[in-house]
Amino acid sequence: MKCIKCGRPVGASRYCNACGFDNKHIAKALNTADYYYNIGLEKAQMHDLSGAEIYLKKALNYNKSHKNARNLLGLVYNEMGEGGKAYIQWKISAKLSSVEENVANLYIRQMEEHPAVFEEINETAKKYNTALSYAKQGSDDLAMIQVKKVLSITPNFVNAHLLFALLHMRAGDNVSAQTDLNNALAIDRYNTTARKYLNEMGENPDTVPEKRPADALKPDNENLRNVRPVDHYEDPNKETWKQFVYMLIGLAIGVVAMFVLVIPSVKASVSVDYNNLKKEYSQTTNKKDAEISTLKDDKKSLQKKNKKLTKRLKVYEGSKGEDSMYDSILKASQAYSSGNYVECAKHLLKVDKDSLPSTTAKNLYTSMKDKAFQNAAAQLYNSGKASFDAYKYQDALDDLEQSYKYDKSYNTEYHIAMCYKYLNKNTDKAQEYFYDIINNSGDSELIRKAANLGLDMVINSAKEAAAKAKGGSTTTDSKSDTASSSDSSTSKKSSTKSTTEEDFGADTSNSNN
Amino acid sequence: MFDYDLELKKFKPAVGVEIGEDELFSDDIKDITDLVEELVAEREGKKASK
Repeated sequence: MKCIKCGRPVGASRYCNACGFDNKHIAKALNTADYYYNIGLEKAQMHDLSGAEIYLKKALNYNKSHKNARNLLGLVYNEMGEGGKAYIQWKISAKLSSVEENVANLYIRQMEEHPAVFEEINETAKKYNTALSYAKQGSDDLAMIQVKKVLSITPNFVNAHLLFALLHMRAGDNVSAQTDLNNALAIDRYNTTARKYLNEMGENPDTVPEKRPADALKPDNENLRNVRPVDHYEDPNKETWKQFVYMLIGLAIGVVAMFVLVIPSVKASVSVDYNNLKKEYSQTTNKKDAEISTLKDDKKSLQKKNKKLTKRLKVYEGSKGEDSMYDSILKASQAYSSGNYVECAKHLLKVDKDSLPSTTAKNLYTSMKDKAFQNAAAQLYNSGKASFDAYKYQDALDDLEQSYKYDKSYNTEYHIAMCYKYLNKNTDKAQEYFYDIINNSGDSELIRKAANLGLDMVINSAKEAAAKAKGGSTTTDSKSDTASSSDSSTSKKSSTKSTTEEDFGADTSNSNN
Repeated sequence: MFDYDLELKKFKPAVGVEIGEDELFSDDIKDITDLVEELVAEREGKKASK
């Protein structure tokens, strides 16, 4: 306990050692407040709510900070249907002690969490005050309508039952009044006003049967039966069938909304997704096609490169047991130095000039080739011609074919064809050679010999046949005559083909057939 | 004789919860502590005036 004067703590003697003030009256007042609180609690437990209200108010007169008295008074008011008064008591209690242990905080929170409760309390108070006003003005019918509404909202409002009873009594409806009073006593068992009204009607209050207030609210006439509050809060537990109907209606609305709003939206979404997917797939396919095309190009390029590199590698390493191009160049060079042009030419044939990596090597190749091929061709032609004249056609053919590789001379070609003829082999090739000489050599002596001796025909017929075989127009004698050459030994093919291994390979293979 | 009007006058208006904080505490009960505090203050005031 604190001193009322200086606020300092005081001991059991109640005298303040600091200021000397005697706090014994205060201490006694606090004790008295507790005493009345206990009586109020007892009465509340006995359902004597109005009695409890009186004693709790007394307790607060002695100690207005009596938290328990405040909270209990709030509960009593709440039980009597006066939520507004209850709320005030709990708010004051909460202000006196705002700690969580104060149960008033719980009551307030419960009320504030449900705005419908506030609405119900306000509506009750408003309609009750209107009814009271009507009653004081003498408009009892209107007052009764309002009270009926009040009781439909708050069935445990004791004062509304009492007012209703008074109005019924004034109207001479003692039966209804008795019912109202019984309802009031069911809530507040020892309500003095209700007991007084019952006495006034000649009834014994002690024989009043206990009834639940809500059950007692029966409309007593047709007009009142139809009167319903429009904006009051209804306990959801009371009309479960309505909730069930509302739930079904809500469910139906939900299903319709799903079909009307959700499903089309989902379908549209799926369609959009499908189109996007299709587009994406198409893009991916195009991309992959482009990649495949690029890879094919790369493959071709790499194969080409590989071929080129293999070819180049051949220059250095050779293949399948053959000499490399460097080996061939070296051997050709050796043969060239010793004047063996046939051997030199033989090695040079194996060399592909374009594959040679350096200019020096290419120059060496060219310088050796010009001289070696010319001399080798001459040597082999002479040797072949000697064999030919000696009727050794096979030996002649060997040398002449070699010579032809190095020098595409029509003379050599003529003798090779004649060898084929005499040896009776490669006749097609021989005929081809003869036609070639007739068509292209321009050497009239050689043309005459090719026609007469080779083809066993007169010149004009041979020329026509040659032209036909070539697939071109017929040539005339005058043309061939004008293109004559005086020295048959110098007649050469007009087209100076480069002598490559492939060319000779083909010729050789033909000759062998 | 039962006087209806007199009985009606005993009925007080109901209180809602639409009230302000000031109004809430304005007509609260005055207890013994308040009275003693007033007396002490009064006595102290008299002493000071003397």
